Amino acid sequence: MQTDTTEVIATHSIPHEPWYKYGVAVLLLEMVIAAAVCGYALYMTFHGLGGFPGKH
Amino acid sequence: MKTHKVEQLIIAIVGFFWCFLMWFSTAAFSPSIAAHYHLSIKALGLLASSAIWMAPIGRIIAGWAADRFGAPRTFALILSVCGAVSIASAYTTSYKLLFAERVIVAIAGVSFVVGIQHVAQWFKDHEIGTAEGLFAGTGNVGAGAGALALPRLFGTNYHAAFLWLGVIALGIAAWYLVRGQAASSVAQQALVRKQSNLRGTLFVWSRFIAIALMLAYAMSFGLEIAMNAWLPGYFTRGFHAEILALGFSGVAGLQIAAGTFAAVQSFTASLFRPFSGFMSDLFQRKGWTPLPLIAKTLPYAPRLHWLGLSLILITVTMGSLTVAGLMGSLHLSVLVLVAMGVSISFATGGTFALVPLLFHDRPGAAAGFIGGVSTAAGIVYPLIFASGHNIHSGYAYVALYMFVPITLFYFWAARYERAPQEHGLIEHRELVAEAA
Repeated sequence: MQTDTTEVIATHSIPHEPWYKYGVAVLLLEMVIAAAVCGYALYMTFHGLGGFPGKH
Repeated sequence: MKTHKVEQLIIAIVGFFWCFLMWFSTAAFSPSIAAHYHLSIKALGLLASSAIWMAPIGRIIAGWAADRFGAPRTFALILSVCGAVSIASAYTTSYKLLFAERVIVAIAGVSFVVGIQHVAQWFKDHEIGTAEGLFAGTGNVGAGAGALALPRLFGTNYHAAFLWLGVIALGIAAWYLVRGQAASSVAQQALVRKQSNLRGTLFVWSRFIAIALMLAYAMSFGLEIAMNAWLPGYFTRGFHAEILALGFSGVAGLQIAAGTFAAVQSFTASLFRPFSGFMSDLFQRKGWTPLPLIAKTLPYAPRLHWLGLSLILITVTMGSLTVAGLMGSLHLSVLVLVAMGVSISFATGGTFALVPLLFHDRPGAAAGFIGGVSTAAGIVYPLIFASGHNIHSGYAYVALYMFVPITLFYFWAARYERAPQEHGLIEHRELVAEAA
C-alpha cells in the first residue's frame, strides 16, 4: 500500500516534456473547431437555412 | 534509426486518420453507388452496416498481432491490404464483387487498436492520456472529414475516390514501415512479444477490470456509433412537426435538419476526445479521487475516478434525452445531445488513458479486447431504442437497465487497492503468475 501511495506522489511531481504544451494546444484547437462547426450548423438549422457545412 | 516519440505519434495519427477515411468512404458514396447499381433500401442498409462487420473479431486479432509483430508491421499490412483492395474496387463493375471488396476495405477500422498499442509503447504513464487522446481523437476525425470532403472533391465519381484513397494508403504504409518503430526500447518490445500468447490473452479476457473497461467502452464508443445510425431517423420521426416548423420541407429538408442534429453528437464525441485524455492526465497530476468505492491509492487511481465520472455523465444525459423528448422540446434535445457527445468523449478518452497502464505487458491484446468486443454494442442499442412504445423512452430504458448496472460493475471492479488485474473470472494461480 505504501509503495502505491508513493508512486502517486511521484507521478504528481514529474514535469511535462516540451511536446506536451503543443499537444495541449492542438487539443484545444480541436475543441474550438468542434464548438464552432456545431454552433454554425445548429444556427443554420434552427433558422431553417441549412445544416452541416456542405449539406445546404 | 534515430526517432522521437512525437514522430511515432504523428505516424500513428496519419495512418489511423487515413484508415478511418477509407473505413467510412463507402458510406460517403452510398447514394452514388445505390444510383449506379439501382440498389433497394434493404441493399443500401446492408452496404451501410457492412462497415462494422469486421470490427469485433478484426480488432482482437489486430491487437494480438501488434503485440506479436510490432505496430509498424501490423499497421503497414492493414494499410497495404486495404489500399490494394480499394484500388481494385475502383475498377470493379460487378456489385457483388464491389460489396465484397468494400467489406475488406472496412478492415481498416481495426487499425485503432494497433495505433493505441503503438502510442502506449512510446509515451510515459503521466502523459499517456493526452497522447492516446490526440491519437484517437484526431484520427477519428477521418470519418467526419470523409463524409464532408470526399463527395465535394470527387462528386459522384466514387471510382476515382477509391483509387486515390488506395494509392495514398500504400504510400502511408511504406512511410509507416520505414520510419515506424515498435517501442521506445528493444527490451519493452521483447517483453510485449513474449506475453503475446494464448495464456496472456486468456488472462486479459478474464480480468474483471478488463471486462469493466470493455463494458465502459461499449457504453461510450458503442453508443456513439449506434447514435450515428439511429439519430437521423429519431429526429425525423420524433420531431417531425418541429422540424417542419423551422422552415424545412420535403424528405430532403428533413434529412438535412435531422442529419445535422445527429452529426453534432458524432462531431463533439470525436473532437473532445483528446481533451478527455488531458483531463485524465490532470486528474492524475492533481491526485483527484472524488468518488466512493473506487480505489484511491493505486498509481493510476485518479484516472479510474475520471472514467467513473464520465460513465455517470453518460447515464444522466441518456435519461435527460428521454425527458427532453417527452417534453417535445427540440432545442433542449439538441442541447442534451451536445452534452451527451462530450460525455461520450470523456469516457472513450478516459478508457484508453487507462488500458496501457493496467496492461503494460500486453497493451495490444487488451486494446483488442476492449476496443473490439465493445463495438458489438453499436448493433444492440438501436434495437432497444426502436422497441419501446414511445420513440423517446428507449434512452431511459437503456440508461436504467444497462448503463446503471455497467457503471456499478465498473465501480466494483475498480475497488481493489492493489493490482486489480489479479482479480478475474479465472482465479488460477498459475495463470496469474505466468501473466504477471
